Amino acid sequence: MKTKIKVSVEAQSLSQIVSLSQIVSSIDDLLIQILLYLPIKSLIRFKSVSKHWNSLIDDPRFCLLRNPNPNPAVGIFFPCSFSGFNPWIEYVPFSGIKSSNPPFSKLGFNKRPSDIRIICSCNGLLLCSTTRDYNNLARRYYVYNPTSNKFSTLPKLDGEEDWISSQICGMNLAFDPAKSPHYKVVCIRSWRYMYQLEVYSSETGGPWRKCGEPFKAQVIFQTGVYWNGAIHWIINGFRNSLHFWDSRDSLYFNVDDEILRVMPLLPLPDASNWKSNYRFWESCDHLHYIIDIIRSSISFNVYEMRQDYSEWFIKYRVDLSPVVAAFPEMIRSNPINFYMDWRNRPIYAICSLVRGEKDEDSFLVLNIEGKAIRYNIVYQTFETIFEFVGAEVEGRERFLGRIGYQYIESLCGV
Amino acid sequence: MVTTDEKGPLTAKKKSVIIRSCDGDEFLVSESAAVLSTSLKKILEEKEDRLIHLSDIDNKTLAMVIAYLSTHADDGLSDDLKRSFDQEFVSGKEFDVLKYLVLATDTLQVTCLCYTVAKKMADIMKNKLVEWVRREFDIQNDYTPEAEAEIRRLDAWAWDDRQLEDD
Repeated sequence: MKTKIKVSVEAQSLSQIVSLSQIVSSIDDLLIQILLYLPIKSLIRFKSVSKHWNSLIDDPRFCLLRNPNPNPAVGIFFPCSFSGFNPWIEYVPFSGIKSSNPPFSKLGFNKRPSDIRIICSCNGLLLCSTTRDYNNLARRYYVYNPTSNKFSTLPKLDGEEDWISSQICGMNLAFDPAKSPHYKVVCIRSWRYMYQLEVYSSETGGPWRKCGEPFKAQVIFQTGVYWNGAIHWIINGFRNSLHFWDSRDSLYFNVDDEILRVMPLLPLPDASNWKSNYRFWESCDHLHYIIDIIRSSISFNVYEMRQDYSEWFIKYRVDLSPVVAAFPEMIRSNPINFYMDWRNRPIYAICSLVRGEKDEDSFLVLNIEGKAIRYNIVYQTFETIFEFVGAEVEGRERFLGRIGYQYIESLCGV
Repeated sequence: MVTTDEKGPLTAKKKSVIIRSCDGDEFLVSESAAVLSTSLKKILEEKEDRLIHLSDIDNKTLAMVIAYLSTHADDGLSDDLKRSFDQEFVSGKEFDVLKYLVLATDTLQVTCLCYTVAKKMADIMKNKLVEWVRREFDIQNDYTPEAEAEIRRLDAWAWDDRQLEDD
């Protein structure tokens, strides 16, 4: 006896369907499978195929499938200016090829780009603000997706704009598309020598909500880094500050349980090096710590934090000597009047740390006198991915940001 | 390829199944190849019968899928060879043929081939006009002209001067 087994395609809808093409486009799972292989640019164009295609491509679940987290950065945004005037933000792809996807060369969402600065980059979204108002309470804050060129404006914070005591000390974006399509923004305000956290959630919308009690801290709130569900702030290294508070603790604030905790002590250099810039760097779900070595040695360690916060361990030992051989000017020693003469600023800086899929793919982006250099940590190879041109002709001081903001492709809505 | 079958005399008595397409042609397939399809595997687990009738897949498409399954079931081939077979398998195929294939692999749940075909389809689609996509997928444009213009304006950067193809 022969058994007929019918393996049917969406049998319920077949009655109305006539063509093969219609069958293919009626099975969403199949369509999604095809769409996942398209470059972002094509996907964005194909949103105009039909309302259904638009809804498929805009769906947060599709965004996450398309760009799973962690998702390596493909480029970097640099704040640039001549003599500090009319700043703009330049996009530099890591590949060094200007025409690579996506094709923006400047940050493009505002009519007056010189009014915009990037505060932080977090898994595909940028937190930006206007720069014009001296008092940061009067500034507008935006969450911007450069891939889809969409932004939303955050609600205003409460407070008297002329009150120094209610100043904003830091703004941080917390966004993990693997956990939720929504983001949170954490604002730190100073209040009578204490700090107060306020949180905005894109899921519930405004207004800002005070979170926890005022607290004392000695951390750098401006450079908070999101990782592992929390914002991390590094110690500021100042002793005997105005706050008469001496702490060597870096802090982190988990945006889900909203609890502020203390991080394990940093592997610090000796006390004579206190004036270095300390920074945390996040890339591909790893939290790193590098002492931004100004005038110190050309080899240093990159530390990484364990997921359970048990310790900092040495991830990489970086040796910059191949770069120094090519750019000897980068270690030109700065005279003692370094702090007196603003022109005589440090000549190179670490702008970004990017982890690759494999350990040996990781690289640093260095700013050496207006050139952006991509330096592979393991293979010690390097290439110039951007050169700030025009300064010589213009006869003006050029300025390429000491910090770059990573660009990560994302279709997530804001 | 043939010699590898004869290499293991102890397991030489391989079971096979007959798969019949919707046009009625029958294909003899080794069980090891058939079970690479999740759907066929389930059927074989449930039924004693060695004849499977597929009412949605035509001769030409079924022959291609079976060629794929047999190659991937061949233990004598290295992974590298299988990968280059996959590339060869989809190269130069018409978009229509790929549509049949992607449907068949979806029906038969041959995940790897489904991905390979979907990737090839995306590769053909990526520089095509929206109108081409609508035609190939038989999709009615349900936007008003204003709404369509607006959606294009919002994502203007994706519509740069690069030549998009219509065929």
